[in-house]
Amino acid sequence: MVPEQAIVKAVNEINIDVKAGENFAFVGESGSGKTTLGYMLARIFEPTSGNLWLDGKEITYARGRELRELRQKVQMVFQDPGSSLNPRQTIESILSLPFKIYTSLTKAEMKKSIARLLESVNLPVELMPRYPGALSGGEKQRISLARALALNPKLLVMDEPTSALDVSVQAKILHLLVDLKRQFGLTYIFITHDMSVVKNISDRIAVTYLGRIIELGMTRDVFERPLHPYTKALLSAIPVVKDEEKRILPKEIILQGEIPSPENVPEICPFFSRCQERQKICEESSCPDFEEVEKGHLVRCYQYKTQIN
Amino acid sequence: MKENIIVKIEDLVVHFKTIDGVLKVLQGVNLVVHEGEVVGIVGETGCGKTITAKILLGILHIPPAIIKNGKVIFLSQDLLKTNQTDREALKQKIGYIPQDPTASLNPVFSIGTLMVDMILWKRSGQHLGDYLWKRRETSQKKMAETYAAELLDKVHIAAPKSILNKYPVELSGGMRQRVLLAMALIGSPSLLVADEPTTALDVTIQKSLLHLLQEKVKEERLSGLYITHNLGVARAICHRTYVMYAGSVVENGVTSEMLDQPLHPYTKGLVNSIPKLTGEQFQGIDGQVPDYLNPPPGCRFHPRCDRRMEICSREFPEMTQVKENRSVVCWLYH
Repeated sequence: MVPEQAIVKAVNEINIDVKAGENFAFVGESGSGKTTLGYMLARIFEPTSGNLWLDGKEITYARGRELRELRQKVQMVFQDPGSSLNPRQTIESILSLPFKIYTSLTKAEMKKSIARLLESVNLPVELMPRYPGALSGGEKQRISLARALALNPKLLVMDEPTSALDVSVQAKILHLLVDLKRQFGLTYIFITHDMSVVKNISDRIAVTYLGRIIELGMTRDVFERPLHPYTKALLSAIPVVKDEEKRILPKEIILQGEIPSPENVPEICPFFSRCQERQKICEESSCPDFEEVEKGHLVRCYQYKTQIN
Repeated sequence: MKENIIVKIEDLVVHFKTIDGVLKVLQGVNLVVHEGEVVGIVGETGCGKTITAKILLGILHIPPAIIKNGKVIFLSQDLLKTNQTDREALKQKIGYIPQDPTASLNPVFSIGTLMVDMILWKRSGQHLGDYLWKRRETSQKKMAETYAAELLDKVHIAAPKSILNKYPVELSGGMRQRVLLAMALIGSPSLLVADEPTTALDVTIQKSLLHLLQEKVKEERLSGLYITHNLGVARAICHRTYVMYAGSVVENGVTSEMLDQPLHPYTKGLVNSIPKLTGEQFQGIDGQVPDYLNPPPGCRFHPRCDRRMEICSREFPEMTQVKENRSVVCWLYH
């Protein structure tokens, strides 16, 4: 993740723990680092520094057999259903791959397992000989999900799993995700910019900006009492549909300026350039540490600093 | 002022000839844009909203499209019946903001070159000879550059002169979209047609762009036709909105009112599909959009509708005017 002349600290000192059975969301906009973070959590990228633990076991630099075992436990679902399925493979072929690599099932047993997978995502068995091109966006995303569930993972990392879908389809996929979580005892890490989705299906959220988490807390707390100026701006920007929703939003904030480039981000608070509540200390000091303002609700912002040295 | 009608689309029926057969896409679209208002067209993928806009802009490829019926009236003239020259003159009064800012700006030219080119093209009334002559004249180019900087300033781009020298790749998505808006404002159009201009943008950038659009519509006294699949965005910027499904308008009204109290089962289904900040239950719509080769008889939504009646599968519903500027195309209300 390091281009020639600039250092892009896509993810800058993230400290987080995700509890079993939780639906945890990383929310943020372009350049926030949330997708890179997701790729690292799924061990598709290796971190430049730092540590990752899964179930108490360190997996940061897992290689070889350890990594293969890890792949069975952590799976990823990607944003674009169109490009995450090989268009030249049948559905059966796509879904048989995890079994081929990790198990020694016979062809007949594999077919049975695939049928069961399709059923769990509410798709007909008749789709097995078809190609992804014949499927709708929603169906393709269900196949991606089925593929991720093939080896009974514990953790699913999902990068904007419904953003590319029409709303009527999105709702069905979200409901499916909730059902599957319950059915298989999964833990979810959701990566998204869609706050309305997050409000409805996530337990805890981390708001990210230019590689850092700037606010962390239970979903309800963050929505009802947003602390960080960026969180407030993000909430106020949600294009709501109903009048009742408008009344829940914080007062309107229109941010001036662009989201800065993630190249060569200074070590001060990343939101400084666009913050409408900024103070002198914000420019002069390094990025503030987390402050727990209420139980389980943390923020990195100098206006909440109880002790300034 | 609201009585002046800028755009009137009447009973527009458009089919497409393909190898597999004839796609009967637009089924009889009716819509109106009054002076000074921003009218939205919302619908999901494939409902025909972009085709409708393209016909208005005159950029729909005919063939394979076949306009079977209807009128597309802009500034009191039916574009479908006007000759080429008059149509081009009318098109000068429409500004178009396309969807993807990355795909719509030629990456090998600077912003200045792109804008000057467009300005000179419009100034020469799209007459090729005149345009080529103007391009060689330094004084013309200088005037165009000044005008371009003015337009960039209008869309709140800081240091507009320096932006003229930059290439699209050097600008962020939000800035590129502002450049496209500036280009749409060339020649002071009467109508802005925007095709999902904020889809590719981050939500805070989207908010500031929508705010800018509203400002410009008021300042420049524009009318707008705004296409989107995002109901929340329609609520934020469109005074009135038309909901399209499978090639026809199913409902229209003042946006806030329509979204708070939708009438058509499809509109209700759409609104219900969206997760709300209030946390109430949301659910999708069963079934899939129909195939345009063999669309269902009668109302095209009836196979998916939980309120369908016998007549829905036989006859296409007539429009019911509930009150001024509010109508629904559904047998439930007939």
